[in-house]
Amino acid sequence: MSGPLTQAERDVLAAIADRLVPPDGPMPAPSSIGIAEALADRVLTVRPDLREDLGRALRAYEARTEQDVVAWLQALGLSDPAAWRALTFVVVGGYYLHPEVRRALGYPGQQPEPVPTTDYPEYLRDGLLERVYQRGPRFRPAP
Amino acid sequence: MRERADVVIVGAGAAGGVVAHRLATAGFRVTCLEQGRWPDRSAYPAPRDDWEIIASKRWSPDPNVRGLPEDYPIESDESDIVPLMYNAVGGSMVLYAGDWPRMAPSDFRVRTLDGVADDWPITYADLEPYYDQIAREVGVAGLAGDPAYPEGADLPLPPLPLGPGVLNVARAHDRLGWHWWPAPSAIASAPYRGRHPCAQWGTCMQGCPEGAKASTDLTHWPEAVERGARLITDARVRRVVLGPRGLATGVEYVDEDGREAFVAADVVVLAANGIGTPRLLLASADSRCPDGLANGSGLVGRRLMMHPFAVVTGVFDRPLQTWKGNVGSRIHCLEFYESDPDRGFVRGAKWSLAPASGGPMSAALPPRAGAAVWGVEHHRAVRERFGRCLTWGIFGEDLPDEANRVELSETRTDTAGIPAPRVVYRVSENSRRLLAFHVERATESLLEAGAIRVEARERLREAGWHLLGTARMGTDPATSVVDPWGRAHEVPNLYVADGSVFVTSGGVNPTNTIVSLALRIADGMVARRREQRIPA
Ligand SMILES: Cc1cc2nc3c(=O)[nH]c(=O)nc-3n(C[C@H](O)[C@H](O)[C@H](O)COP(=O)(O)OP(=O)(O)OC[C@H]3O[C@@H](n4cnc5c(N)ncnc54)[C@H](O)[C@@H]3O)c2cc1C
Ligand code: SF4
Repeated sequence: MSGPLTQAERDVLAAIADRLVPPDGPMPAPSSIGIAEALADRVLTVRPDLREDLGRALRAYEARTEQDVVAWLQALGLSDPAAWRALTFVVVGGYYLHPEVRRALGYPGQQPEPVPTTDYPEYLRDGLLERVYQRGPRFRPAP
Repeated sequence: MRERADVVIVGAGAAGGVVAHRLATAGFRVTCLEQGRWPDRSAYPAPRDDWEIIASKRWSPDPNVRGLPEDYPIESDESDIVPLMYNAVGGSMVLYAGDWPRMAPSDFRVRTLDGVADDWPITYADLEPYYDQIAREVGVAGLAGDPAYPEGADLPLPPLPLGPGVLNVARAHDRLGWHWWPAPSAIASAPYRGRHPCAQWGTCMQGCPEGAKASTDLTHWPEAVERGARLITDARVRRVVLGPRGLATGVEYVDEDGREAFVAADVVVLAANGIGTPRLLLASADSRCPDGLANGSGLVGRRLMMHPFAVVTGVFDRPLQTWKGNVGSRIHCLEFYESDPDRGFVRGAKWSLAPASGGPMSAALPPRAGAAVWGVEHHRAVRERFGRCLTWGIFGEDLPDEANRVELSETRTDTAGIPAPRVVYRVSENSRRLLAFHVERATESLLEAGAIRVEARERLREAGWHLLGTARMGTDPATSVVDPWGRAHEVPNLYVADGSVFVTSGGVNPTNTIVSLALRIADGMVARRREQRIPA
């Protein structure tokens, strides 16, 4: 299977995501932030190679007999590790892209921040490193 | 196309950059062939919000995952550890973490001191001036005086900041009476020779967008090219050609348009790393050397060492913003580096304390998040770990074993039709015991530092960062491939300058030693240029 996710696939993905990453306090439900729409599409744009494995995971979900989604996922990990990897990657990758989720988690994204022009490090000021030195050589002399 | 050089170098990575720079400075006409391209710093993913997603594929350290046209596939089904690398100008340094320790004096004398493996034909003292010179060339940040090493010269740059939480681990070691020291890093902590200081992006292993982390595309190649070195990218070397007098006459390569080409040279230097170099020597077999070039000892590709790795993670009960700052070592510990006969194994390991780097994705996916991260537990598990973990990364000495090896694949090739390497590697019993012991001690360290929980993973598979030993140096042509100056015993104008020449692995990150050796090898070529035998 290739090409964009079908509506049926999106519905299944949203349902799975809501069970794997259920809402909790400030953390929104995946379906409420578009996990199976724009977010999944963004992940798959960067990782089109996951499309087929994801499709297989979604079909496996529909054919499942196990009702407990977490237990089903665990079984999928054993029977089809590639499908498991694609599904968990798309859910987690998409979910943690969303600004609301990042805000709630306190993650600003990777940001540049110049290294402080070293004021004297604390371990030098308080003698901590000096004590390592005073304990003497730690290496074995070699001929 | 056909061109001529005094010296042709294969590979523009760590070792290749240093050798090209030294030889061009000495006035040699140098041509280097590199299968990759110049890295484009503006394409590094750090500033993007989807950087972790991009990192998982385009910036993976595993060439089989990356699958770029310049990568060659590696068959590693029969290896406990997957070899990792990057193919570009700068080589694997484009993705490395910048940890820059030296090997210890005992690392060069394992046979004499521990009765196992082999001694190197050179000593720590032989290499020391090169370590000092390289420290200036790359701009190492750190503090001299580490009692785990002989007294040495000052480092050119002050240490990088430790970051939140790390000092607590240092204090824990103070209470335990254990060694620790601010880790040396090849990362600029202040402006250095035109390079920016580290801006703490925390993405060193996906390329440093700041240019603060040393890699030869920044530290050596621009000046080497200015001094006349010719660097041809998109050029895959397929074999070293042996002439009628048992001397190499040059190398054949496939250019960016898929055309065959040849560089004739007086001297050939291989710097294609611990996998790429034996691959090329084996692929250069002909009727005069059916087992591969320079392989009378049978050791080309043998004795592969990759440093089995363990990671011990301490979860702390306060935010440590671990996604910030350099991802490599902040402090290191060599308390248990030297052999102790009571421990049931020989040799030891260096520990590197680093923040559990990465964004929320890596914190929310197994294995980092643990297996029970799905369902109602999800947010608790992620909140508990994300930004709050410090890890001891543990590299143990990996003793050489001839059964651990690089061969040529019988079925797979790269896009130019050159046979892919096949890697066979098993973690030894000594390594298992060594890692188990060190994991226990590192657990004690983190608990003493106040971790609320400690989790360990031993013998990680995606951990083949260090590729060593597959064309070892020595004085006896029966038991080594190259001499103490990197020259092949059997082909006197062929040199190996990368990590392949290691006799034993040491228990530290190897690149400082690789490039210091490469500089020594290049110095030897300059000093003995008049005696060098060359093809007519
Ligand atoms: C993710 C990661 C993190 C690391 N972190 C650290 C660290 O913190 N500290 C440390 O000490 N080490 C680290 N390392 C290891 C370090 O990068 C290597 O030890 C070092 O780069 C090896 O240098 P080299 O010159 O032997 O090979 P490389 O740097 O790998 O260079 C070899 C070059 O040869 C080229 N080449 C190979 N075959 C051919 C051919 N047939 N034709 C043309 N070109 C060819 C390749 O494209 C490549 O550019 C890390 C590695 C990785 C992947
Ligand atoms: S943390 Fe420093 S060295 Fe690492 S990528 Fe950022 S600027 Fe470069």
